[in-house]
Amino acid sequence: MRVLRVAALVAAANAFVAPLAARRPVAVRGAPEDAADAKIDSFVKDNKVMLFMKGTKIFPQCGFSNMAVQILNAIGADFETCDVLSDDFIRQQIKVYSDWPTIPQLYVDGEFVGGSDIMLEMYQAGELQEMIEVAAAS
Amino acid sequence: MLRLAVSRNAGALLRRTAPPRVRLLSTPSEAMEAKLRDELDAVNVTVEDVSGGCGAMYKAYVESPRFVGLGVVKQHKLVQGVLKAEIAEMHGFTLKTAKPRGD
Repeated sequence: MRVLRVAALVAAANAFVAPLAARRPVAVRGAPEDAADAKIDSFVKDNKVMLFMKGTKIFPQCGFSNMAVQILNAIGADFETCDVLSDDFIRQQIKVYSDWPTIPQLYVDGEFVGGSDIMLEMYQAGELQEMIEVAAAS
Repeated sequence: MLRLAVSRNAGALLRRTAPPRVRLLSTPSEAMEAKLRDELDAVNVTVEDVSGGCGAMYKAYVESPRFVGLGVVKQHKLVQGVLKAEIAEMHGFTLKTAKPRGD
């Protein structure tokens, strides 16, 4: 009888603990991604011209990011940057957020514009200057 | 007559012992070009290894009738969708898309 009661107790304790244990890793895994999403969101919404890049404006750490900075400098755009190399969660999450597999990524007025290839194409066509002027004036 | 028979046998022997013809494995560039042709009906497509040999950077040009009516971001996304796994492994991927001339 006593043995049975102990067994029942153990079963009850397992029933209580197991779901908790199962739930915890999910929460731990989800949190940094949500936090990264929220950070990206505020970067994009708070800055009219926002560039996610590898390295900084002064010291870009990839040729494509460098080109993106050079283009924005040539336009004379007032832009903010986020160095994805300094935050691994943002580095991974920005690809999901934008549904775009590469970095740099440009946002103007909260909208995804493209990567460095598209930036160059638009710059050469005079479209990027126009888009940024319109955003700056709004 | 005898010589002919011998040479015929030699031919048969050679055929039997020669290794089976193996289709050369395509390069990653060629494999990506083939995928783009298959999945996007790309008419003009080149994928070039610009890494200097390590295979971490590719430059692509894709011309597809599927791009008609799409903005450049959507055109790039179509290509990225086809090469999703490959691009994830690369350091850099640079792309130019175009609609076939005449469309």
